[in-house]
Amino acid sequence: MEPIFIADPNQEAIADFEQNNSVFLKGPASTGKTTAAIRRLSNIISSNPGGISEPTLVLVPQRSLAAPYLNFLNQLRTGATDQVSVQTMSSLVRRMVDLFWPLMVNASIFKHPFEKPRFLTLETSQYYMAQIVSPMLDQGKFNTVSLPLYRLCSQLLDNLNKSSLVGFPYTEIGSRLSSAWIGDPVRQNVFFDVQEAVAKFRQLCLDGSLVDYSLQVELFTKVLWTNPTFQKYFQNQYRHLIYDNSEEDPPYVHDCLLDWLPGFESSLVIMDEKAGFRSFLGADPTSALRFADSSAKQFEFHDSYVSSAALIALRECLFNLQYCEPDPDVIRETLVFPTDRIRFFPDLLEALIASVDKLVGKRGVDPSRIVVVSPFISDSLQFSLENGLAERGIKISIQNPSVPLAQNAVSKTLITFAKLAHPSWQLTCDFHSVASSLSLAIKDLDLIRAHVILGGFEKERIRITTLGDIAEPNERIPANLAGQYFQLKHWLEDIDEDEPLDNFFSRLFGELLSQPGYGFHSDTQAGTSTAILMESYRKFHQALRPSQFSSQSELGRAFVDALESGLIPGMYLSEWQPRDPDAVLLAPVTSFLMRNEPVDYQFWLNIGSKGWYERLEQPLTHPIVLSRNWSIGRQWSAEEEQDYNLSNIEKVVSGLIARCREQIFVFSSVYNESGIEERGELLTLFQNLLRKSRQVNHGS
Amino acid sequence: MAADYSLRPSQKKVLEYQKGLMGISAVPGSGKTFTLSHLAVKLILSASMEPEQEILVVTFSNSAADNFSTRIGEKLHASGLLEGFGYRVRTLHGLANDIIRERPELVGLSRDFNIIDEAETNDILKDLVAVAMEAHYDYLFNLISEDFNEKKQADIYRKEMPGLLQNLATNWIKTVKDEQISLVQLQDWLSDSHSNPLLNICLEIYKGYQAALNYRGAIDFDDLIRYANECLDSDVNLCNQLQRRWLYVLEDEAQDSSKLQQSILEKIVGKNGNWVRVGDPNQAIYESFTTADPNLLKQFIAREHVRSIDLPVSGRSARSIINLANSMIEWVESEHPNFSVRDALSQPFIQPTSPHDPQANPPSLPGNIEIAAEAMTAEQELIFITKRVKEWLELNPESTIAVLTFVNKRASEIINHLKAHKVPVSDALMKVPEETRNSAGAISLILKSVLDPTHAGHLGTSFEVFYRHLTESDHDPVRKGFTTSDPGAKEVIKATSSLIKALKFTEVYLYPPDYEWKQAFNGEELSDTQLELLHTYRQAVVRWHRAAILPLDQLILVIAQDLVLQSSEIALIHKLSGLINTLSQNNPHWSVLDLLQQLIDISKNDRAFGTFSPKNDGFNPELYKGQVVIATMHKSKGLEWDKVFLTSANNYDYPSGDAGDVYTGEKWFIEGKRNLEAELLYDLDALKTEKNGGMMLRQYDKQTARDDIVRDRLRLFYVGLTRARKSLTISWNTGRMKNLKAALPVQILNKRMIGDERST
Repeated sequence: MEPIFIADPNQEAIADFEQNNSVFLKGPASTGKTTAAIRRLSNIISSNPGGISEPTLVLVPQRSLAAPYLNFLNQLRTGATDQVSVQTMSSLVRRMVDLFWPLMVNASIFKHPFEKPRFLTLETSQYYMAQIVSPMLDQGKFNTVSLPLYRLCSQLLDNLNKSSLVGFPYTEIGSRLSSAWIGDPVRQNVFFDVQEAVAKFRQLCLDGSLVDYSLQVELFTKVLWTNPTFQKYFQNQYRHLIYDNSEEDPPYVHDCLLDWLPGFESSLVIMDEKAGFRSFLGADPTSALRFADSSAKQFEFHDSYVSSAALIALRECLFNLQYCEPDPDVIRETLVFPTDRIRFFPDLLEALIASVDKLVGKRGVDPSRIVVVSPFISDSLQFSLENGLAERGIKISIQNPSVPLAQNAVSKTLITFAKLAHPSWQLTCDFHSVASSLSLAIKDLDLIRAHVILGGFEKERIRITTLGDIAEPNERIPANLAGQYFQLKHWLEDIDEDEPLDNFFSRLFGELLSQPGYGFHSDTQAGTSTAILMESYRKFHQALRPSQFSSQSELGRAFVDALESGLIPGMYLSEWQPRDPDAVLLAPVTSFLMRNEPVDYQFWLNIGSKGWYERLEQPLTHPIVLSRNWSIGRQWSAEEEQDYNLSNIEKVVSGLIARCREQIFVFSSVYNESGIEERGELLTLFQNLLRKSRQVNHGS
Repeated sequence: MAADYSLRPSQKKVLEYQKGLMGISAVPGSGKTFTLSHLAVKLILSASMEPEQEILVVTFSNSAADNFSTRIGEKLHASGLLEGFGYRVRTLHGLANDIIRERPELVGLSRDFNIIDEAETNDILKDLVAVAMEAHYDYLFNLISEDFNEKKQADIYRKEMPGLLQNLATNWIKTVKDEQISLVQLQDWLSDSHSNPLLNICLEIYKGYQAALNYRGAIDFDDLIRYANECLDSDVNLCNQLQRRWLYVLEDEAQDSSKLQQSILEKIVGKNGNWVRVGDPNQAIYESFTTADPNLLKQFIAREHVRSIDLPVSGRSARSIINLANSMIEWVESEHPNFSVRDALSQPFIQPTSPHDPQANPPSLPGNIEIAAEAMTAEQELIFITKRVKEWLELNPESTIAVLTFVNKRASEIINHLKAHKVPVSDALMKVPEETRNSAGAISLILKSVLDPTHAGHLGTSFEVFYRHLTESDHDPVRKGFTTSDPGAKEVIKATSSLIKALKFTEVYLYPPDYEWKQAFNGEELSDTQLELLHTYRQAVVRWHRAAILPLDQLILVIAQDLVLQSSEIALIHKLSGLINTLSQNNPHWSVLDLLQQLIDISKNDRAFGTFSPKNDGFNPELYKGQVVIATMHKSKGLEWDKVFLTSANNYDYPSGDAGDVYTGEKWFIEGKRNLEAELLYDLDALKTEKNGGMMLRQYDKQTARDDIVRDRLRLFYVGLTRARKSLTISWNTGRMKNLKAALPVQILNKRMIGDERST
């Protein structure tokens, strides 16, 4: 096992779990809190005779934050860490609700208590919510908001989740939102519609033993947590607790842990200051502060192990510009601006690529020490950057939390073939989709020959029955390609339409497309994409009542419809997916902050964008109004919005600087990607810094 | 800031402004944009503003906003300050967008709401109109004149009625939105009403239209304005923040503001705010249906606490042209045969500059105004214009010149005629600028070859597009990829493209199974240059084929990366890609071919597409010296040229109230030539008045609508003739039926000019 480098006595004190058995530790990012916690974990493990850990729970708000702990544990010998459990609360909750389902029987919650629960994913919840909302839309409900159906559904589900994460009855959602409303009273009526929809959804869940995320949390906090049998089981499982980044969890997690804390032999609760980036998911730093009073000792770390002195000076000055005289040397050392004012976004990309190339090519910086962050990563940004850097031999690793399933090339191909193989769905395929899918699926089949096989561009819509036959190889289609096409076509024709769709995908991939001669042969990424598609279908399937569909085929069609209408929106990458160690990282700001991974050079794109600090404004939900810190009845106006934005901008900028060692490259173009001129607060902040620095310079 | 000696006294008076309300009435060419940008710079330099405070400049069009930005930026730069800070230039719609994006939830929107463009609005309405035509067949059919036989009536119903109904619905919806009448209110009002059935039909279309927008998470341009106003009404703190942020509001072309737009600015300015409004009620002309009213500016200037200043001196035009414009004002004010329209134009007259003025008038050369009074057919007028243009260009090759028309269609005819006679033409001011159309065209041609890869013709055409930078002199050929110094590049590319087009099978060139691709051109002697061209192109096409599985918007970006483009073109293609992305989200059932068709429509000018201005500083006529700029009168607003042609000035485009004049709202196929639009808007107004407890004081009469058109056209004519600096030619034609007359102002001005000449 690698020794853990401990730099100062404070960290040593944290590591001493026997002396300091109940500790609350806070401090800004990169001040060595997690390092100290890992040392403490190491001490816990090694303190037990035989080097086998006592039962220990390491709790983090999301999987990406578990990486330092998992990396540490992976270095230890097998067996030593068997009793160390690295968990998120949501995974614990899901497991416990499933395990202790019989306890719900007596609680008289579900209409059919003996029916097996069906856990809903975000996608399947959206599917069910859409069944409720669609008829409401037909009745003229929600007519004062302009939102696509899937967005409407996701905001309603968000409200339900907030009620359980924050801990107020879901029956108050509409009234809470309505009481904070400052706009036209005519629009206020929409909150009745919101309440009606969430109530109907909850009823649907209780009637059908469906458990969405909000219900999972409610069952856990209201039924299990208060049940003595459960408490006995659950609270005796672990003797030590390390809870990192507590500020990123919602209040219900804090409630449970505050309750649970006295039961641990040792506990360390860590909180990052100026964080709480997941407030849209209910993260509540104010609530996390309660751990301070419940712990025997409190520690604070201040000194960064990452940022240069100049960067720290920059951070201090940026948010105290009124009283600070910016040192031009500090600015020169820490910030890099393009030499000319950039007008169009593509020019910005070009300048960015040239800068990265200069760092890597001329200065020999390892690409892994560079991150490019932007509030949002659009497809075109991703694509242009990936290609532009590739031309210069630089790889890029993209950390985008979700990719639309319907747009992924592999899943698109599989769905196209599924449509062809299921004539009873009565869905036709776009000629272009079939041709490009064939070209992707059959190795060496180019797009031209795919068109030749399909036989004529004028045929706009394709069905299995209109697929051409190639009886004999001809001068245009070589025998091997003709053979593979023939095989694929007949495979599709021969399937049993009532075969479950995940089976269909699995067999299509396994029996055919991953075989030599086909396009996905030896392609692990294609395998992963297929697995994600299958998983998505399975969850969809599991969430549905068997009586809803008369056949597997009908169910498959419903899945394809939901996918193509956007109700099954995202293909979620594994959070623990490792980053390519030789690549520049491209990530949305929040995702990068939640990786907790310092780098040497940061590129900040589109600093004119308000996305750097604004909440995801949505008309039917509100993360602050539905939080515990909001006084019911108070109205949310532009003033509250401004306060929120200013505090957020400080959080984000401080968080980024804390994760930077050397320099920040700041980029903005007059017109953004959509051709709109943006003037966000971050741009103003830098302008003011430069203006003031120039004054100081001229003054001296 | 050093004193600016290039300003004349009346302009300097404007620069004395420090705070409060000021209204400036400015004649054409009085340098209002120039003066206003000076004022903006003076305020930026002198007013004590906090770092986050700005001067807000509001103007009417994107190109005017660009012009302002450039001028202010240059002046600040000259003063040693950073451009782009301390001010914000916006069109009213751009400003409304900024306001809504502060608090979109107040109007039921997410932060990333879409704004659909005119083309998509039309597409949605087209579908809804088709449904309404089915549902209300009897009523709508009976509107058609019984003068036609049944077959002709059916034909009219099929061909003319959809366009009319769509136009009625469009303008009615605009009015409803501008009046801020909610859908619920309308439904309530019309539920117990026995009024014009067309109101109910429009309401149905409106309901469907709003539902379509909601489903898309989108709003239209009219929603932008009303929602911005609603945001300001809803949240007083937002209003206060914006008042704090925009310490001064400078408004150009204020005569174009509607009541609602004026109300937005009033709220941003606040009770004791600083607001300077510059405009010319005589130049209140509108490209499409609008609720703007030039009287609003007049009323503002007349307010008690508003400091009123005139900018009556103009150095733009030669004195003879100024006299002509003044003569028109005088005639309209005192002699127009229709008394009701005598308020269309009003004094002050344009005053020429004093001898030492820094922006003195050009000299009045003999014969610099020509009014072609004789009747010409449309074709003869084209020949006349081309002849005169050539004559002018021969004598003045370095001058600026514009041919102005009333409608796009006539402009296209003139473009084609001039081009056919080898006259250099620019249509940069037309619906979709040439640069945009070329970019859309280039991308769509390449996409065609990717989507139909077996087609050798498409592949050959796409080859020419791929290498167009080598044949166009204004492109930088050394940006990326292949370059050639071959003087005959155009011929080489054409010849090579022909070889591709002649291929029997395209795969033999792109994907030869077991031989080298060069053998696809077996028997042809290929030069090294051709081999290199073919090799580079082939690599790109294979890359595009691999990317064909991507959504179309991304495929466009892949292709763009392989093309040699200037940065504004790249930006345009990114914007086109964004449009395709939005369209595919809004219309999930569309195939790639449907999406491709949108690009083709843009390239053919069949679809509008909002874009950046083609040059980086907005439209500047000086950049088009020696070329003839063709534009509609509406697009010419704010611009000037040495030589201007006002064309098609007949009583069809410029009715005056004479018998035989035609009015656009009165459709030839409607029984009694009723003006359905005017009736519909009158009924809406009456309904609103009644429901608000009032009584409509005037009765509907057809003449009111006619008078509005006459007023509008008089101003349009006035704007047209005041675009000319040195020389002006006015012509007219007898139209398709060869029965039209010269517009009344043309006849009058001609008489007056002849009279003047005689008296001198």
